[in-house]
Amino acid sequence: MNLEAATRTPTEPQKADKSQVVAPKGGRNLLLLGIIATSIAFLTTFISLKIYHDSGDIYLDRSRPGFLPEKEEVEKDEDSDSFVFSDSGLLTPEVLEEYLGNLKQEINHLDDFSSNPFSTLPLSDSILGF
Amino acid sequence: MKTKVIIFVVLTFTTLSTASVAYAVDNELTEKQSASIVNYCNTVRQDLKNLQRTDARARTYFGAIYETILSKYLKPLNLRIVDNDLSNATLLKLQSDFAEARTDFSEDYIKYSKSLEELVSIDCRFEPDLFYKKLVSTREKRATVAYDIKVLNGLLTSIIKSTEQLKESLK
Repeated sequence: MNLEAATRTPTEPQKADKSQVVAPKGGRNLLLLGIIATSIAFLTTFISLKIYHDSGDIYLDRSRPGFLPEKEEVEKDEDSDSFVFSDSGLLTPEVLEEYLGNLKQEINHLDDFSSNPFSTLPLSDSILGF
Repeated sequence: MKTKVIIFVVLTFTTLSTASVAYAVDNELTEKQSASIVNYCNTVRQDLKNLQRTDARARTYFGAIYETILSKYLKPLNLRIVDNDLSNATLLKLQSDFAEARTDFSEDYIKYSKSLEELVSIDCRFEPDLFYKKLVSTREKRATVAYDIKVLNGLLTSIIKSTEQLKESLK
């Protein structure tokens, strides 16, 4: 054992030290990589939300919490796809009669909801109680 | 000449001042209104939040119907008219006007919705004047959306009329 220690070359202790130096440096780099990746994720998420908000899509999107469609509205959407008017084929008075019947039915759905959906009444002083 | 210029400037200044005072009076909050806003702030904000949800449903409902009419009725009809070697410039124009009006409706709704959201975010207990000013502005934007729907409904009436005329012409 003493003979081995005595015959050990001067570089061998340096090799042992070098491996000890590499390990903490690698760990630091990994930590740095994690921080950078997380920062990029936060930044891209922030940019996406900003675009979503500024473009106005957030005001059209009804999948927001509290703005989900009612069950009967979803069922109604599924039912409304029954009539299909082809963009080719012979155009006759009978075909147009059927077309008009379905179109008028579709337009009547507008009145089913409300005749004046965006009237200023809900925002009037009297309704708000001022 | 110099006297005339002075008289003109004075008259213009007086007219503008009167107009601005009248405008300020119309949009100014009375003390009673200010007190009402402060007292009923929570109720009013809750009502506005409920209105937001109702409006979102209305926009989706109307938007979906207008989209259906444009994509499943108007566009295929105009394509089929061309396919049959017929010509109907009126229906083509109506399709274009309808698409434009629908876009205006979407854009105006976004502006109104943004304004309503900003209105809801104002704490009217502490800023009744700002709240009221924003309310007046939101009301105007809502009126624009109501007008867009009126335009769209008017176009739908014209579309029905033109299609009936086309049907008669084919007999």
